[in-house]
Amino acid sequence: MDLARLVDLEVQLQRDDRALAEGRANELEARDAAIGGALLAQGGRLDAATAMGRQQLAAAWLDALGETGPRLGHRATHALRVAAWLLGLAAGLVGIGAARATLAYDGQQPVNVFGFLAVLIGLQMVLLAAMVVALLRGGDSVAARLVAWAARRWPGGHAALGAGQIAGRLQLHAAAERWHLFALNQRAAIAFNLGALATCLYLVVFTDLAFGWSTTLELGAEQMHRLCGSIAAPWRQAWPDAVPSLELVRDSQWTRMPGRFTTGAALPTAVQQSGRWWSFLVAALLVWGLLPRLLAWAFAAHRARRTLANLPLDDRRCAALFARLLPPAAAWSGPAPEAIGLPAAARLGNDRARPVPAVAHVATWLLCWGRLQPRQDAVRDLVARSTGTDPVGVGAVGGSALADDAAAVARLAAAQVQRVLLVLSAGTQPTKDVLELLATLRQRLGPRAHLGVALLADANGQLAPADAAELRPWQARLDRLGDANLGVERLEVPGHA
Amino acid sequence: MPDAGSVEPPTFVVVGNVNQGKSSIVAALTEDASIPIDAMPGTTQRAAEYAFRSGDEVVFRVVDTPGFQRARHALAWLQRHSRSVADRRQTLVEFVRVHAEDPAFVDEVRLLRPILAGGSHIYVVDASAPFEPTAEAEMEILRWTGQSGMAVLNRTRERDHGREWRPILTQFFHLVRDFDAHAATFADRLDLLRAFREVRDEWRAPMQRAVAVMEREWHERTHRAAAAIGGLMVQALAHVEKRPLAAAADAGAEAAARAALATAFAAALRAMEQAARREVERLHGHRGLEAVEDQLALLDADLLGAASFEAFGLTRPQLLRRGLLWGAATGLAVDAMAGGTSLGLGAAIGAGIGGAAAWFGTPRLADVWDERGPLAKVLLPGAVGRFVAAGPLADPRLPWVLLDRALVHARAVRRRSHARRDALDLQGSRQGLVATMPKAWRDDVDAELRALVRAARTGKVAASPPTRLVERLQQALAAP
Repeated sequence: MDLARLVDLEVQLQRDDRALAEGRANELEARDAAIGGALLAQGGRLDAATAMGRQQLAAAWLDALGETGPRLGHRATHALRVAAWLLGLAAGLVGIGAARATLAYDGQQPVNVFGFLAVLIGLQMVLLAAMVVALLRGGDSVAARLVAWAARRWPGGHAALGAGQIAGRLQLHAAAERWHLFALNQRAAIAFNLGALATCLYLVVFTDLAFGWSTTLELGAEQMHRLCGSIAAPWRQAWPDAVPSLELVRDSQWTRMPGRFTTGAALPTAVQQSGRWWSFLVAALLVWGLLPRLLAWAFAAHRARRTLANLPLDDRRCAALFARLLPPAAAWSGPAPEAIGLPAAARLGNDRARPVPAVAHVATWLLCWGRLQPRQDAVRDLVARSTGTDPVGVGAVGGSALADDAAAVARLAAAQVQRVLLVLSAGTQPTKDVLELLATLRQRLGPRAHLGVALLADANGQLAPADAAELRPWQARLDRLGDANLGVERLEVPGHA
Repeated sequence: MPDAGSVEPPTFVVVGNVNQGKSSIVAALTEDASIPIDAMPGTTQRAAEYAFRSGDEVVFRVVDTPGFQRARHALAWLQRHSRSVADRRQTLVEFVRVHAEDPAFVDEVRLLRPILAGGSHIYVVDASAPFEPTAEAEMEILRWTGQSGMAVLNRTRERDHGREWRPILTQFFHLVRDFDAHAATFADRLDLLRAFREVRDEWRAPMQRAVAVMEREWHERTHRAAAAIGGLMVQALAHVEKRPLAAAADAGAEAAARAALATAFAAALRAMEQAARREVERLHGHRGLEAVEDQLALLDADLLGAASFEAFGLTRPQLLRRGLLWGAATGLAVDAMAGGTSLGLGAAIGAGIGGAAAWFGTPRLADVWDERGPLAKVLLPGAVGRFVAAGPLADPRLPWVLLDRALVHARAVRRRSHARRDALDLQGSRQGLVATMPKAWRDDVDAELRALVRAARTGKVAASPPTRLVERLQQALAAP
């Protein structure tokens, strides 16, 4: 993941957070499920178990968001690049200025080697060391602190909490930010050193310079020579001319009061010897100024890339994103409900329940369905107790043989029966099989014959009227046939609730 | 028909008379709460195939079917057209061909097709209704398919005719299993799938794998649910609500702001709780529960109400110990802010106050402070001007109540069958869960919650819940 992607990711997560707060969770789920599905269809391997997998997934997600996604990342990195160049330019100018200041020669006093070393080498080394210590100590995100600082100047209380959230997110990437800032800093330092180096070479080549050394410290020429030798240790073998000799050091010692070399040599002599000093100073600037910065910059750039590449993306918001994006490793898939079932409007849950009328107290023929056939007497007795009228006759239908159904219907038709009650066991469903029998009865008995359906439950071997809930599907089903003389009837037996 | 060389995944065709609970069983098995289920017979009008995938691979399929409507008539046709036992399957194929467009046998054709294509049948009967001769015709037709199958006894009502059904079913099927689609838990679903392994020898290995994949996925889901609840705790324990005050605000205005603050704080906690619940429901495929939220029985009791405190969270003796620790944790934060100069006095005083409050006190949401308080600099460094703020939570009772409610809700959701279309039933959850967990578990969770409070009071809010807390919550969710 690069910086631009990370910025875009954070911006989009912030947008999504706002959408969640506005109650648009379903919208986000639908969007991300569709993106996840499309990624799967493209044959991409979707994996949120590893940091790399999560990064690839986040990048693919941002790509899939396309036009609707954020575009801030590229602008931000571009701005950062411009800022880096500007910073580099500024640092280069400062380097030039610093070199000019430390190498300023007015013909009255030689350039103090100490000043050059202190400003262009010593100070840089101290700053670099301080920065490395700060880097290793870690700490809060600078950007998060900037956001908090900005929030202090923001009117209104809630802004502070919003800023807190943003700062919290920035804090997650504090390590990446530290390395990026460090690398940026090193680039500026390189520009500073290059500026200083170029200035140094320019002044040496195109102007006369006289070098000397002067200090208020108790430092003799031998000690100064040893100090220079230590500084020059890295290039002593490769560039021996850039190591000041003891003689040169002794000859170059300058006293401010009364303003002369301790050996009594004149400034023009020092100018002639300047070539032996400038090579030392340039080498020192290269090795102790520029080189550490180049190394630090290379290391920081590498760490910045690595930190970004290893971003865990395992915080709460990312986890929620991946949960929306990725189907579970194992999952069921099936058709949409509307493709397989009755329309919701046709279901019983949408049917208005109405009271089921009791079985009429009139002469009735009974037809016992299926398993009630062998219990015809019990059914007859129950119906008689319920209606106070003994059934006129009893027939059997719904058995194994269809011929028995036809025979029963033929018998009723021959007797010109005008009222039939079909009794079934509770739990028997209004299948086409049963409805077809009722249709045949209607056809054979004529439109004025009364056809009723009743259900009996078997409770521990005893027959009892079925409860209203079991009658309801029958009632709804028969109602849809549009037969005014056909309906469900409720058996009422004294002693039964 | 599949190619001779290709290996088709096991396919189980759920058949039976109408309204026997076939779709309920399929809904429970496939965790699909959107499958149409209704008391109206014939709700399922077309065969619907549900594939269980592991990655891109289909491990097995379940096919829901419309159900037999005219089995006696179909069997009569078959018997008329079959000359011998040897041609029965071919006669069935012929039946499907002849009646492909016949509205009289549309349901039989639709349910037989996937079986003739190689699926095994799962014959579902409602054991709350007695055996009917029609069922014999259905089973006979299934026998004619020549495919192996099994029978499942479902129950849609209190009545039980299972004893009557069993000896009949065993004449047609070598496997008969009970499965209550409306009360089926994950373990019940796995048991049924294990039974599916026995239907055909060649399907044993893929079904074994399916069971393993489902167990793994369930474990992962448990982890995600625990992480969602953990996230709720992180969010809730760190929450700070703030109300600005005018520079010249008098005592009355400040009191009004404090009252508004308490309301807003409670509303924010409830919103967080609701969001975590939705996430747990989403993970378990129970999105529809949102519509029945008003009927959430005890869970609907106000999060901050007395009933909630009595039903959820820890018992009083458990609370006393926690109160001491929580008070000490809060006091430690004060010590830390004082740079240690208080010599631990904050922790000692905090422990005393916390213990006493846990035993005697009435629940309070959170500390209320203003821009001069020590928490202002730590928690709201960007805030300017006068304000009052509340948070983070410090009373041990509220986090435990919040956690317990989340666990009870999650447990109810996890145990809920996808065949149910009613409100989330919490009759078995009249009391909370945490008080019944082992002491070591409570100690661990309490330590994690206290660590979250400490972090929250120093302004260091974690981006995700601590691993140890998630592990403990996972244990609680997985507990039987």
